[in-house]
Amino acid sequence: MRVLLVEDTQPLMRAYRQGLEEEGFAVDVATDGEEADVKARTTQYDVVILDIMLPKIDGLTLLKKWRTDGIKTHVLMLTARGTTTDKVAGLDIGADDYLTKPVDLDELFARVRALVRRGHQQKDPVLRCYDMDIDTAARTVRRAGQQIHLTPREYALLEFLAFHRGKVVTRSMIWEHLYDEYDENTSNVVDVYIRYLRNKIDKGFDPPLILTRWGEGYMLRGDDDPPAPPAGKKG
Amino acid sequence: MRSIRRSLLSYFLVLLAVALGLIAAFVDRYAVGAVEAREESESNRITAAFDTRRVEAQTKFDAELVQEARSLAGELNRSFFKTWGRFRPPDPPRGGGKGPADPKSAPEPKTSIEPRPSFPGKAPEDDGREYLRRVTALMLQPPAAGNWLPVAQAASATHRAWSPGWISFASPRTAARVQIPEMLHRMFEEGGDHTGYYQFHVVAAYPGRPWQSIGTVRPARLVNDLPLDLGRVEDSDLEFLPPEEVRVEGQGTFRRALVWTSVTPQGSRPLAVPVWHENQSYSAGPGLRATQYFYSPIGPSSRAFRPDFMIRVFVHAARPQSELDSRLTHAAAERDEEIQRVHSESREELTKLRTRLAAIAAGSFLALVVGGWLIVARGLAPVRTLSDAVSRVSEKDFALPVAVTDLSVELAPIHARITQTLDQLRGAFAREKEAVADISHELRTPIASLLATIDVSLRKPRTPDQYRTTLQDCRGIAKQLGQLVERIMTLASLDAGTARGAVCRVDAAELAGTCAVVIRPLAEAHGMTFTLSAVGPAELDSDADRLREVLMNLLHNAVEYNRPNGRVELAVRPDAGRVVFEVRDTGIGMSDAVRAKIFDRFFRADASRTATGVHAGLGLAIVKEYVQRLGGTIEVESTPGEGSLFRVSFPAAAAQTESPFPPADAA
Repeated sequence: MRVLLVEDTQPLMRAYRQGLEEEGFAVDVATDGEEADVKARTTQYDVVILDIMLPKIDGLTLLKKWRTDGIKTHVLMLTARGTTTDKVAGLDIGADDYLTKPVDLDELFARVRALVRRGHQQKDPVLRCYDMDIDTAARTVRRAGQQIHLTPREYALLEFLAFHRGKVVTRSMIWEHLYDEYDENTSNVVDVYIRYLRNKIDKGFDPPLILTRWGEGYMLRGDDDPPAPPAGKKG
Repeated sequence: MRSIRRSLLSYFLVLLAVALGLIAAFVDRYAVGAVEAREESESNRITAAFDTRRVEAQTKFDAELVQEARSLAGELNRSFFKTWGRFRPPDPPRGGGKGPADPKSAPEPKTSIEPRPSFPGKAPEDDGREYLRRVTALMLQPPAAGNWLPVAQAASATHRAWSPGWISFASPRTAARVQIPEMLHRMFEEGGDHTGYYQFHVVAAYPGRPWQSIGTVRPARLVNDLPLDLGRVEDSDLEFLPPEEVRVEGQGTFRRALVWTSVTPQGSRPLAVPVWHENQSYSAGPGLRATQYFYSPIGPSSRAFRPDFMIRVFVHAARPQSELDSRLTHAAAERDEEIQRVHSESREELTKLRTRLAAIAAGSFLALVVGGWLIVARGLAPVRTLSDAVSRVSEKDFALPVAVTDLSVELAPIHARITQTLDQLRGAFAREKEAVADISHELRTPIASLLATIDVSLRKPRTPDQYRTTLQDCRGIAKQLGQLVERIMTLASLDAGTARGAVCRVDAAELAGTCAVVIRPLAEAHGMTFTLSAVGPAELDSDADRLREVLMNLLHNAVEYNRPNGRVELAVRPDAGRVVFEVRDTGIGMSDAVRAKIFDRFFRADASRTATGVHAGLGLAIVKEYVQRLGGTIEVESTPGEGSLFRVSFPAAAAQTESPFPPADAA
């Protein structure tokens, strides 16, 4: 999941970025309002973490502009201003959540995850697909009651597919949501990770859950997909 | 705490009570005066009516007395005449008779009624005459010192009426028996119920002697004589003294009428007892005219025959004063009663008036207590409105929820003052709130950074290098935090006025030099050029540490807000008794709106700078406070995009030392 972190305090920004990245988020960073505006308009972020006291354009103005222009990205206000008035103002302008610095990192991550789920109309923190359970809170995956260990990136990919279960996800979509601005876009990096994931999830299990749509992308098997995959389609 | 309403009302009522009291006193006084005047005039009228009655009664009383006395005197005269009528005065001597000593008073009585008595040789027939004859014989003796009756003897010679209807006089030289008129008998009876008194005085005058009382007759009841003052009576035929009051020793006060009569035969002449005298003249006593009568000598002697003495009888008719008084008692009682009635009526009227006055006063007082209470309440309504409004002031808006037009003119200044105070309070609260929010924000950000850095670092095992980086980050944040707290404390101590520095002589150029030493490397590290120019000797009395802090702050700002490859200049010069420091940069500059707020606390022209430096918008606020406390001024010139100039000036030291100062110039 890709997150835009807008924070002008350098040490804080570094810390949050590191934490988010270690949680498996792809993190883009903006240190002032203008930069944040440009990034939010050009990239489809799952969540924007927005400070209020920002150089050039402050957070509230920025958010107002976004909402006016129809940008529906989930925004989590994260600011040192903690009064009720400030919170109400922020939420009323169109923020989806509001947190006051200093914030517990776990809470921050949980809220970000909740916002991600909300973005996919998913209330249950556990995503289910046939005999596979993806616990988005604990970031664990089980198939047929068996724990499967995934790297953060593999997990992020699986989670992304799960959120779009039964729908085709293009490679660029995957790239957009799983990699930050600093990652180098090599042609087959997505395919490589799909292969890793298949090895861990589908190998030894039936039916295979990750489907390949030639020329389009990948998808996680939905409930109405044919139970038996067509032979030879395995990529 | 006193209630305005109550005190106003009490003042009002005190005033009212005084006014009412005064009015009541005046009204009362005039009413009393009028009533008393009426009472007095009424009393006077009654008294006058009584006096008239009294005078009438007395006049009547007196008239009765006079009447009684007169009738008694007439009777007495008749009796005397009866008794002595035979003693016809002798005819005056005829022919060769010697003229009287006083020729003027020598009228010849021509009208002789009775023949001359055959005096002295003839004896009278009746006892009266006999008696008189004897008396006359006695009288005929020439008066001499020896046989003159002294007063005491005269008193002893007083006779009582010896039988009803008669009184008799007896004296050494005369005696008379007078029949008392029937109507008067009872006056002389003992134990009678009459109240009147009668007394007869027989008074005689001898030739050459004053009138002398020779006998009195008084009733038995009368213990002492009624007095007779001969000096007051006139010599006349039938005269009277107007009734008067007399006091009798041991007998009380009487009202007496005094009538006298000269005993005259035939009413023509007074009775005179002829006595043989030779050229002897009468001398009248004081106040008495003695009429001289001359008669021809009787007998062979040719000597003048003159009356020896003349008798006059005084009749006193007296009644006790108490009788008159008793007649008037009823009238007096009526008068007193009348006066008493008038008096009590007046009292009653006054009482009624006073009661009415008191009732009116009490009524109006009561009405005004109630009315005053309401009126004062009404008058104080604006105060109440204001007080209600003040009590409804909330700390949310600090607005006085009442318009000044709803209050009275007197309260307008209070309203204005309260509004002003509330405005100030609102401003102060807003600033306070803002300051707290600012401070908490400023503190929260580094603390959040610190916590986040540490939390992230602790989430999983790290390499020593990673820990080292984390710790360095933390140190930087903590340092920033410390500086921030330091600045806030500085401002707080400046606000509290506790920060005091030591003032000493400061060489401006030298001070600038010490700043340059620190700033130059910093500026060069940012790729800027730093210039220091000091012109002329400039010294000032100031706190060197603070002054340095001011300059350092300005220089730090100049470096921080500068553009790459910009310039920072510090200039020191004396200027008209002042020392001027100028810090110029070629940075981003600022707009007028920003410049107006630049010295406000927590104001930052660009919020982004928090991320890079230690400045939380307090630096210039502290600079301004310091400059003001050091007695200087600070001003800013700026053009957006070109740079800013901060000019700080302080009064120069009193005595400038003429030490040439080599301008420390460095690029």
